[in-house]
Parts: sequence; C-alpha cells; structure tokens
Amino acid sequence: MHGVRSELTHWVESGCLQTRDLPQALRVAAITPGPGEWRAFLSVLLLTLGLLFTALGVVFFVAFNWGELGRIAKFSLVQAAIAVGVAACWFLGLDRLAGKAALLACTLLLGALLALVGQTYQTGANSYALFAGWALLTLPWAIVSCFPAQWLLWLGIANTALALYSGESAGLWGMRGTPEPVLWSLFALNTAALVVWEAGAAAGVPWLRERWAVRVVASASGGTITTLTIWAIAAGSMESWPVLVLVGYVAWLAGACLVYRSVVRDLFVLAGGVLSVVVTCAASLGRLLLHTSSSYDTAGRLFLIGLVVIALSAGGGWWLKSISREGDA
Amino acid sequence: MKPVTPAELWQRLLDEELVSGEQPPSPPPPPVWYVEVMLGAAGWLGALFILAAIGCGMAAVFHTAALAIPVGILCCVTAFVHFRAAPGNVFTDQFALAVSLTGQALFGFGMWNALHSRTPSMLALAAFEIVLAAALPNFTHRVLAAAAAAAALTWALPNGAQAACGVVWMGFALISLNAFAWARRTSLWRPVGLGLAIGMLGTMWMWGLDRRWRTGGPEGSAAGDPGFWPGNALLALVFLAAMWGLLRRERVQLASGVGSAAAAAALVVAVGALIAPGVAGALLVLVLGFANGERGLLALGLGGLGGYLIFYYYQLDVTLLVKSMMLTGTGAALLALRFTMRRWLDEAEAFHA
Repeated sequence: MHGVRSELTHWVESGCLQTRDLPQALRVAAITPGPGEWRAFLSVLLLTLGLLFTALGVVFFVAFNWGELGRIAKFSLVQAAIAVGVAACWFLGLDRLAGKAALLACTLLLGALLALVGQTYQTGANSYALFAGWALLTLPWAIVSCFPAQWLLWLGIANTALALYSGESAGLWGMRGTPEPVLWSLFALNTAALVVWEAGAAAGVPWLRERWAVRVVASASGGTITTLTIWAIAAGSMESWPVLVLVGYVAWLAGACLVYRSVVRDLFVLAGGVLSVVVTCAASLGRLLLHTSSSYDTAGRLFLIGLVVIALSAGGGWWLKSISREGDA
Repeated sequence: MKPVTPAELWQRLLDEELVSGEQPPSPPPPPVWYVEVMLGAAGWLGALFILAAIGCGMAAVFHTAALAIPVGILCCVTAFVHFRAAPGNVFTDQFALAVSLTGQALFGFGMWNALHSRTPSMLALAAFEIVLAAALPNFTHRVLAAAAAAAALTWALPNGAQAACGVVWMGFALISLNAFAWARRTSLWRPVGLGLAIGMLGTMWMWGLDRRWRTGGPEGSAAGDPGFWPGNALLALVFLAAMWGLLRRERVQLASGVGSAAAAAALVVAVGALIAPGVAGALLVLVLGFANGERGLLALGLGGLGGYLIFYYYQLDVTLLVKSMMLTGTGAALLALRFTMRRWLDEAEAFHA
C-alpha cells in the first residue's frame, strides 16, 4: 500500500494523473475508504467509544464515591460489573469483536476486584501475589479468546508480577538495589513469549499472524536486554566489563538478525535492533572515553561519540533500506 | 484483500479513463516509517552529544545569546545547503539532521537568554521551526520541525494554550482535508501534517499535567481561569468544522443515515470536548487518518486517545463526578447513535431488496 501511494503521488507530480482524479484513483487502489468501509468504520468506532466512555464513566463515578461506599457495596459493584461483562461475552460470542472486547474488560475488572480484596483484607501478602493471582486467574480467558490484545494484556500483568517478585527476591541474594535480576527475568519471559508466538504464527495459527502484536512483544524483549546491557556498562566497575550481559546481548542481536532478516522478514524488529546497537555503542564509548578524560579533551570525545552515533545510525538506515528494496524487487 | 501492484493499478486507471498511455517509470521506494523513526531518534542522540561537546568546549555559546543564536542559525543553514544541494546519501543526511537539531536547540537557548520570557522566546522558536519545516526538504526533519513548532506555539501562551492548540488543530485539519487538492506538494504537506499530529497529541497530554506547569498559576483547577471555557469551546468548534469539512469532501448527504449519524456523533464529541478537549483532538487525528488511508495517523490517534484518558483521571480542572457524568452521557449517546444507524441501514437494505 505504501509503494502504491507513492506511485500515485509520483503520477500526480509528473502530470500523468490529474489532481481532481486523485480521490477516485485512491479508491480504485483501495487506499482510501469507500462507502462500505466508512459504514463499517463508523459502526465500530461508535461501539468502541460508546463502551469505553460508559465503562470509564462508571469507574470515575465509583472512584468519586469510594470513600462513602461500604464494604459490601464496593464488592457488589465490581463483581456485578464482571458478571455483566461475562454475560455480554457469552451472548455476543468470542467470534465477534464486541465479545472479545467484553472479555478484555472483564480481565481489567478482575484486577480491580483483586486490588479491592487486598485493600480490604490486609493480609500482609507481597504485592507480587496480586499480579501473579491476576495472571493465573485470567489465563483461561486468554486461551479461549484467541485475541492478540488479550494476550498482550496478560503478558503485561505477568511482566509486572515477575518484576515485583524478582525485585523482592533479589534481597535474598544480596542484590537489592540493582535492577539486574528484574531485567533478566523480564527478558527471559518476553523472549520466551516471542519465540512461542512466532512458532505459532509459523505453524499457521491465523490470529497469531497480526504483526503489530508480535512487534510489541519483540520491543519488550529487545528493550529489556538493551536496558540491562546499558545499565551493566554504565554501573559496572571500571576494571572489568559485564561479560555475561554482553554475551547475552550479542546472542540476542544475532538471533534477531538471523530470524527477522531471513526467516520472518520484519523490518520493524531490525530497525529496533539497529537503534539498540546505536544506543549501546554510545554507552560503551561514553564509559571508555569519558571516565578518564580531562575537561580539556571532553569536548572532543563527546563530539567523537556524536559522530559515531550518526555514522552507526546512517549505516543502519542504509542497511535497512537495502533490505526493504530487496523485498520490493 | 490482496494488495494491488502499480502495474495493475495503472491498468485499472486506464479502464476508468483517468490516465492514458504507458505507465511512467516507478520512483524510488519511499522509506518505511519505523526506519525514519529510528533515524530521527538516533539523530537526536547524536545532536545531544554534539550539543554537550559545544557546552564543554565553548560554554560561552550557551550563556551568550549573541553567540547562540547566530551559531544555531548557521548550523541550520548548513543543513539547508546540504539537503538542497546534495541529498540522498544516508550518512550525510543523518549528519545534516543532527547538525540542524543542534542548531535549533542553540537557537532556543539563545532566544531564552535574550528575552528571559516564555511567550516571546517560544513564539520566536515556533516561527523558526515553521521556516525550517518549509525550507528543508527532508521527511524526518519536516516531521520533527512541525512537531516542535506545534509544541512551542502551545507552550508560548500559558493562558491561551487552548487557542494555540486550536491553531495547530486547524492547521492539521486543513492539511488533511486538502491532501488530495495539494497532492503536487505531498513531499511538503504529508510530513508537516504528521508532525502537527504528533505535536497535537503530545501537547494534549500536557492537559493532564499540574496546572502550575500548564498555566504558571497556582496548583488546582483551571476551570475558573478566564480562558478555560472559551478555549475549550474553540477547540470543540474546530473539531466540528473539521468534521463538517470531511463530510463535504466525501460528498456525504446529511440527510442520509450515515451522514446523520456522523454529524450527530461529531456534535456529541464536541459537547464532551468542553470538559475533555483531548478526546476531540485524538479523534480528529484518528478520523482524518482513516479518511486519507494513513494507517500511521490512525494508530497515533488511537494511542493519543488512550494516553489522554489515562492522564484525564488525574486532572484537577473538574471533579471526578463531573468527568463521570460527561463520559457516561457521551458513551450512552454514541451507543444509541450506533443502534439507530444500524437499524436504519438494515431497514434501508431490506427495502431495496
């Protein structure tokens, strides 16, 4: 679609296609919507906005009156909302978008219910227990939904549970105050999710083939390993480099490059990888050059790092564009 | 639906008698948006290091307006010369982008040091960014310059931020609605429109910030400020005007079921915008993005709506009760409109069948 749009623009600019005929040409190319698409869009938009605003209005109303509500009223409200959502999902069916949206809303409301339980009955449980319970209870819903957005929400809840658990467990190993355990565990979870998701898509599961959802998971995986690497470089001792982290980072880069260059071909993930390399190299050069510099040559070293950043990003951009041209050819 | 190839499209246009003769040679393929985002982000990172180098080696440049402003302009002129004379090399393009971003930052620093006041310095920066967006023919640069102009304009007027937002919204709507009529200058208007959309959504999140950041006034509700309600009403009017312009462009009759539903929905959203203007702004980007087949704008609009609603919970301008009533009323009205529209369309189809 992107290439066809640029072709149409080129034809207008060269005079082959009159400006007044461009709207019709765009409809012929199915770039702009026709009457049928407009009707469908308006229908979905009104439904989604209507449900979203109504649900948020109820949430805001409950929040406004929260202090005045008794314990029974609070629990009844949230549980009734979940029951209504489940009933709506049952009635509409999971084949329809409205049914999937209802199940997504139920997932969010279940989290609110668990938070209310924790707030009302102060058991002294760890905070990760809420999110772990939320993830466990909503896993069956995620399985039956066959809906990427539902799985992304579930993954977000699981990430939060794992991050809180890792952060609290780190104290046991004398690593409190360092984000390494949290980042390592998040990297493992998101990378495992990415591998399973891509394997499912490759096996032909249709709802797993939506690239936007996979890209979110890939961004989470790449983001965590990049953050871990930069933190390890910046916070480590000057006498040694964080070898384990760097090996893990290079292995992730190599794997991503192999899979998304040759097997799946997703430029988005490759572009994220290039940006990760640029930022990591900047951090590495900063550690190498700035730690021991005097004020006189700091300016020169900063300028050098800036030039390296520009050169790396330009090289990465040239590489990505050449891959894109291969795909168009 | 299987995507159509350029050759197939040319044949279809020949059949519709919109073109004639042989298909012209294809232009170079356009860059993909996430590659441009990567280059833009890395360009910013490079510019930050260059700025830091200037700050270390020539600290006087930052502290003296008489140095910062000309050096900043010189950096931008250098980038202009490159993009006009010798564009196309990825390495030099990226370097020119970083140099221009450095120059813009220096110009902003210089204006602040010279004028010591938010309004004139931000207005000067906004004007500078508009000139750069028009003059430098690079897609990523135009997006960033337009977004910076939108942000600077909104930040310039603490008590007239909504009026400034209204100007940005009008600019975005004009560009989007005339995207086809101005197709010969797509290389200018498309990145500027995208930049204005990014600036719009970014500054709308500002509504969620503490009143002290937005208006410079004391903490608390801004609903009592003189410009608050007229400003929100202006934004609602801009939204309505844009939707009316879209209905005219698409030649949708208001008497038709879809036309009536769309107009009524726009009116409902505009009334809600009196209390939550960010919703109207995000929907403006979303709907115009869909109308022009711009999936990037569609995604921006969706993300902007979600982000604004999260910030809206914490905003102190009106109470949670008022927000709740507005949201519930708007939601119920939109659901009723949808139900009515579907019934009308089903009856119309049954009648024609």
